Amino acid sequence: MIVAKDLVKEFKIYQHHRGAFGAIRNMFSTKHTIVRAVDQISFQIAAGELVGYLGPNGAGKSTTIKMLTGILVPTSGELTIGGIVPWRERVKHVRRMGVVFGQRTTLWWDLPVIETMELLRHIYKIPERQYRRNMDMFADLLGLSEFLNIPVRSLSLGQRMRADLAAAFLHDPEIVFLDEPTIGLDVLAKERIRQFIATINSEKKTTVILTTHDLGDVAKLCRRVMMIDRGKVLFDGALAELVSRFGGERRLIVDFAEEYDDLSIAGARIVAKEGRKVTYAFHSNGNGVAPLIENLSRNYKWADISLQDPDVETTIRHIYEQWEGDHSSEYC
Amino acid sequence: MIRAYWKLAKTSFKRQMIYRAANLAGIATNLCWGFFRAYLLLAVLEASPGVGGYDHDSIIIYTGFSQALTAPLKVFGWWDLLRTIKSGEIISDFCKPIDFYGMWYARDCGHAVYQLAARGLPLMLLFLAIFRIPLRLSASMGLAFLISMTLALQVSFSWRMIYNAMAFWTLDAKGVAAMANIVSLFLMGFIIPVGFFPPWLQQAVQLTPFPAMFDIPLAILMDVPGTEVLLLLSRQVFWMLILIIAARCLLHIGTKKVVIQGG
Ligand SMILES: Nc1ncnc2c1ncn2[C@@H]1O[C@H](COP(=O)(O)OP(=O)(O)OP(=O)(O)O)[C@@H](O)[C@H]1O
Ligand SMILES: [Mg+2]
Repeated sequence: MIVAKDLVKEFKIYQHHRGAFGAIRNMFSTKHTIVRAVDQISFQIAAGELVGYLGPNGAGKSTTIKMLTGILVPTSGELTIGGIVPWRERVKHVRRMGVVFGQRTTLWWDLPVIETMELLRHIYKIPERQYRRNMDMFADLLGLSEFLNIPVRSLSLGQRMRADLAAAFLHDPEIVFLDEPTIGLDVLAKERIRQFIATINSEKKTTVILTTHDLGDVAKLCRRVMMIDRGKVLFDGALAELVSRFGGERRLIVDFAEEYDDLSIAGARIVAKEGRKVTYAFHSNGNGVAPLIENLSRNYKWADISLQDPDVETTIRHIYEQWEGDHSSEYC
Repeated sequence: MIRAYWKLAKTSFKRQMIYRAANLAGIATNLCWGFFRAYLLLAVLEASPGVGGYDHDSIIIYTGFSQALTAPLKVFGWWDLLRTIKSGEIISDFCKPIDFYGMWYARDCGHAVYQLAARGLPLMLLFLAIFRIPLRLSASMGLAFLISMTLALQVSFSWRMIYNAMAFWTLDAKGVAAMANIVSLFLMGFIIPVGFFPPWLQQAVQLTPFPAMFDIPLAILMDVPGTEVLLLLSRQVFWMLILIIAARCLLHIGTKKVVIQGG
């Protein structure tokens, strides 16, 4: 469905002058620096996939989404979505696409939600029956009916986001881009939105690409993740693979039955110690946990042992920390 | 697609109805200002009788008409498009399969129709009744006036789009736009009648689109002897086409810029 090849987006940042003549100088100023927000990324996404697009702040996620929606033209590279180049045939492209920018609404600020939906019905020429069916479905899944008559500007953030999602899915788009759809929401609201996205994706086979900083979204929704940093895709694959490849160390938490002076064991290191409770970290690529437990049992008396596998959150924190480290060493 | 524009216009019309109280207050303000301006202009008329071909009655019609059009012509400036460009909200309009100029125009029409019906017309009638001025308008001149009014609002709309589009190129667009608005108000004869201008300026103004926004429907309304209605209407149509093309070109280039440079 989506084929991206060597996509690059560079921004020119002009120097701004202040003061009385600043405005005039700005008009003629050619001094600029170039920021490469997206740096030669390539990927393919099949119809019906639900892909999480992750990366630290400023990685280039939103910029990529904007290119996919056709509102930004790449500096170089190729991109087709369902055979169309988004920015060349923008109107045709946006007809079968939906988008939510979590940071700002795409709804008309001063209209009640229902008026916005009615307007969209005409703009997308949605048949009456389909419109009814979807509105009923959204009332169900998103609780839309609670605030249909409130103007968008007076909605709470969670309500606004739900309205925005409904608007994006109203015309049964083939593909939907969600840029941080859960930003700033409470736990329940997030849960509801995740449920909604999952349901639509499985029932309507809508292709969804989602950026987020909330790893709960990822764990709940995405089988496939793409990770980007400084404009480059550094991982593209199954979420499970990401965890096993980058998850780093597993943890073994041991409650000892007696006091010992030396608790070090081969193949693991101590990361925390709290009274008799000690946390060891070890790499999962070896022989598993059996040798460690044998070793422990041979030398110590213990009361309880528990094992912690890396979850998505720790994995991703781990990856970001590694990248952070890489960058700072680049500058040294 | 027409349905979408119709719906847009209707929604914008309905939105105005929410502000009924503000509307009444608006009529009162317009009326007060109308008296003030009328007496000022009458004083001018007394000092130099026959100035610009005006007499007592036509001064009253002029003031009533201009006060009635403050809202539809967005005399105090209109910055909606400018704001969406600056805030980046414009991006969400790009994500919808609808013509940009058409979308804004539909909304403007909804607004203008409401303001004319609920504010402009009552105000004008009230004004004429208070001053006991009869308005004699034949059916054909009435029709010509309606057409001319529609054209005037459309030309004004394109002009407003043009000065709003400045926001694509400069951060200080609001200043430029406010300037453009004031200049246009003066040149269209909204502040003082075009007939009061010095002769050279009167001639110069006829070469600009501004009379098409206000002065021409006014002339038809007053039915000045020797008014060549068809000529006036065709001048409006001419400027309408020019300004539509200009506004659309600017929007097109501005959009390109946003799309390529990222705002
Ligand atoms: N219009 C623009 N002009 C100049 N630079 C820009 C523009 N848009 C983005 N950038 C720069 O491009 C880089 C990538 O930005 P982008 O918004 O894509 O990041 P992101 O991954 O969405 O980050 P976040 O998680 O914070 O939303 C940043 O360095 C940003 O400053
Ligand atoms: Mg972003």
